Amino acid sequence: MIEAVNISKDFYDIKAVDQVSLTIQEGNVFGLVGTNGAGKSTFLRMLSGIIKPDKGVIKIDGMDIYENVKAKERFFYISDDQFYFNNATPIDMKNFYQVIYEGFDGERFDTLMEQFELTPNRKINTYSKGMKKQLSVICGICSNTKYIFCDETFDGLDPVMRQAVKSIIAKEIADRNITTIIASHNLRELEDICDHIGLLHRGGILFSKDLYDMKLNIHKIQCVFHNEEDAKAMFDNLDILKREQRGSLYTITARGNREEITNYFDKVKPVFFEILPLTLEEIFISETEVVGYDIKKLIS
Amino acid sequence: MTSKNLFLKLQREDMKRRVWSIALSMLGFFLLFTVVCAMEVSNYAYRIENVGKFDPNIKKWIYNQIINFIGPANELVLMITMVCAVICGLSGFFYLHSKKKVDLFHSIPVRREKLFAATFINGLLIYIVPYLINLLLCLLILAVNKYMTVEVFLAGLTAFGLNILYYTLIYTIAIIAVMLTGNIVVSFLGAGVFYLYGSFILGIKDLYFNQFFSTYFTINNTERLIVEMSPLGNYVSTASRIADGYDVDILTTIILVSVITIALIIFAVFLYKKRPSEAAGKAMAFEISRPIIKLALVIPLSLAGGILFMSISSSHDMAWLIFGLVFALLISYGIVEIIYNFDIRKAFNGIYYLIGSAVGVAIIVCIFQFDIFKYDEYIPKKNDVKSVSVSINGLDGHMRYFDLYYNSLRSVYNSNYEIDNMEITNFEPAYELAKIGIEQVKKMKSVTENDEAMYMTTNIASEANKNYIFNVKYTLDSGRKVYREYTLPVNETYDLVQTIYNDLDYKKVHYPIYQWDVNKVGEISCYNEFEDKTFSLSTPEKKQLIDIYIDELNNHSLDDNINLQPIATLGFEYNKLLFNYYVYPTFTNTIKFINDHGFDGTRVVGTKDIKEIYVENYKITLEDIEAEKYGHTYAVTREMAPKEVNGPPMDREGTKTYTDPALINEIYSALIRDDHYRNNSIFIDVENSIDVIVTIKTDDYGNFITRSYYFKTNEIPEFVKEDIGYK
Repeated sequence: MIEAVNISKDFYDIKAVDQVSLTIQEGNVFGLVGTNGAGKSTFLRMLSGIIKPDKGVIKIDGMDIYENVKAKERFFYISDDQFYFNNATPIDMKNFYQVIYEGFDGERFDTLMEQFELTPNRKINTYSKGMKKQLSVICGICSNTKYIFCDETFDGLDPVMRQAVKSIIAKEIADRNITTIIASHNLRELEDICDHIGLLHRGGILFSKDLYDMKLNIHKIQCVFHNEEDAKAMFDNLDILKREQRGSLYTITARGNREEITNYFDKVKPVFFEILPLTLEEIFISETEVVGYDIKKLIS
Repeated sequence: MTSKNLFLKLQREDMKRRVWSIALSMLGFFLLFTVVCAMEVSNYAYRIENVGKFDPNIKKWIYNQIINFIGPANELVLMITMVCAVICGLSGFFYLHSKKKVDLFHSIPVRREKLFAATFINGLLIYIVPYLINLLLCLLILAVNKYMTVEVFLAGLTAFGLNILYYTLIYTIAIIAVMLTGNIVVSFLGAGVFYLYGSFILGIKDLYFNQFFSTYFTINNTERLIVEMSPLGNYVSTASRIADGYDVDILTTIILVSVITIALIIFAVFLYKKRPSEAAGKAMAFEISRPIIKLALVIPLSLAGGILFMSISSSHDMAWLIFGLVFALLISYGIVEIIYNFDIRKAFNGIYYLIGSAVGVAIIVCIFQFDIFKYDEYIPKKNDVKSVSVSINGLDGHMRYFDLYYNSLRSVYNSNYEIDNMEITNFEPAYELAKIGIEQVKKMKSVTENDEAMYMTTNIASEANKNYIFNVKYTLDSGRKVYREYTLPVNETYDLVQTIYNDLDYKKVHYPIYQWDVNKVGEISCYNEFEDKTFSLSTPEKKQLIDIYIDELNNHSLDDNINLQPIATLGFEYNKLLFNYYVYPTFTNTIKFINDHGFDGTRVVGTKDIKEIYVENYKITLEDIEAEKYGHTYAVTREMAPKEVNGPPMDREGTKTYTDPALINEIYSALIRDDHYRNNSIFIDVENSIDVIVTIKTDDYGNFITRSYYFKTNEIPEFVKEDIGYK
């Protein structure tokens, strides 16, 4: 488990991370979203023990991270612009990481390289940006660490590759129950992989919630009532976050248990009602609007 | 994975990334060490074949050359060491300046100390291994060519140890520069500052003391200290000292450098651990160091600017000092801020620091200008003084001194040698002289600028008020040493100087013969106007002569030294260097000794030996020459005279040649030998505008020599005055 309590980091007069508290459970894929400059990378760098928080405590499995080899052995950090040694080939990097990470799986590395059609003997500086990203994920996966921290890892990958990378991570989660933190400014990239989302804004965390819980608790319903009284009675009894009306068709976003909402509609017996799936973006729009933010300004 | 394995693997991985450094180091050593060695060896073979027939010392010369090459004196190896240390120091840790690289290295599960150690040791190996390989190759080349001796091997080993030590020092300093900064260019500048800062500060201090304090004495090792305060200068200096011959202090230096190097390595590790990763790309890595380094640079640079402008202006005007201070302050502050912020618009960022620097500079300059701490008037309390060392400038100018520090191989100024080595416990006369010196300084300071000029003119121009430089070092009971230099008037201080001169503590250092080891004394010769003889003496005889001479020197007074003209000169070869000691007429036992060994020490120049005396009044002859050349005359000095004036006598106005024995007798009794005067010019008064050349018959076969003389002041015969138009 990763636990950050009130961590802050200033760079001169800029508050990069401000009083952030987060708990990331094992086996989670935690999506850290926020605009550029929201503090995602700084947070991940603190989590990786690269930089030291000015205030607060950050622990991995109960251990302090900064300058703690035992703690660092448990994760692999993939930065937004991963460094590869000058003139190095993937083989060189494999050799390097084999020195660093005791559990580094060389065979898996070779297999994944082949799977992604990356040439192991080619110099990395001749690779495209996307290929470098793939290589960084392969290195991270093969390190066999319990945690993987990815900073904008899907940025620059084409949709096919993005899906391929996601599938490796998903497989790894399924096989080894690894915990992954993925920082991204693009909410859509995280939608199908994350099960927990933390939203950072101006160094502070707006909220951190389980995606499943969020999906369970927010629902989009399209319905048509027999009359206005029925509709009013219905809305008065629901925790409505958003309501739109086009003719007699209402589209509402309401918080609550799906069963309870269904039962309630069954009682009122509207002309028609249907619960529609919500996109992650829609959930975020609803949640952030509640706390007074315009999500479109917070994420891309 | 065991810690040791990880460390070795980290080293191997790091080495892979530094192949270019290894190649550079190997290439440098191979070309400048091994190849040059092979070339030299082939040259030696050629020399033996061609020169060896005529020069029996050729082999000795070759061995010296080999030892110089393989040993610490090899400047090429010093150069490789310095270049390699800077390159490896900076390049090994440059990853700290890149966010990408720092993210990798500081996120992996390796302790920073281990990362540091792996990179640090690799940096050492990049130098040591190629050096060792090439040293072995050189030794092999020498062995194959039969030039290998124990001495050569030891010289190579000494150089190897010394070069590694200084490599580590220079290399560690470069690493510290990288640790403290976050940018490659700033690291280079930082390393440059570290290499030169100590020398720079000491140099500035010396310039200010010299400029503002009348009694400041630049001690003999100031120049050496200025050089040695720089690690690079210290390296070159230590290497040359070792090459010149081992001395006691060299071990202290080596120990000191080793301790400093270890301390710097510990400091570098500390910095590495404390260095924030986010410093990558910034000018300075540590916030706390920004103002400290800024002030530490701006204040001395401003002071340097001030003194530079003041020195350039021939008037040494305070206005130029102030201009220089302000100008250098603004420029240096601006440059530092631009470097800090990478933005020219922020040249005057942090105005309070600029004001603080200006105040600091102003305070320092005021301390010097107004002598706030009364430096010029300071004299230690008598009770605190353990001993004094003195040096009287203008007394026995012929004496040669060699720095004991360099195993007596390097010539030093008499004042430096005496101040360093003398210990006069009866310091009352020296103390009194210092008091007179302080009074002189006070007088100088109390007069206005106009009066000062007049005062100086009066003091310098008047023979009756001749001044001399008196250096003194007080060694206090606490061990502290206080150095001062005073300008003293001869007439007021002669008796005190006489007392000091008669003190054996003074003579024992003033005349190095007292300290000599007779085993190092080579040939002894003696010469005067009539004879030049090299004695054939055994060591006991040499000792006997030295003992006799010292015994007579003990009783030799300052009056004797000034008033008696030497009858002969003893030439001692000591430590392969030649030292001259005069034999005075009162040195009867010495004269007897040289007589007994075949040199006629009783024969002195008399009227009968003089063929002629030529007298020239320079005041007239120079005016003639000027008039001939330019149609008018200037106030010409003898030094300005055209060469032909110093040539053979010319028959013109202002000159006269005397051959009449009666006149010669009268003239000769009023003369003083040129060299005797020059050696003691402060205490002997002569009429130096009149040149006298005496032609002395050296035998009965018509051979003669010429000697220059001066007339003693107020002793010029009237007929001479008339003949040469002297007024």
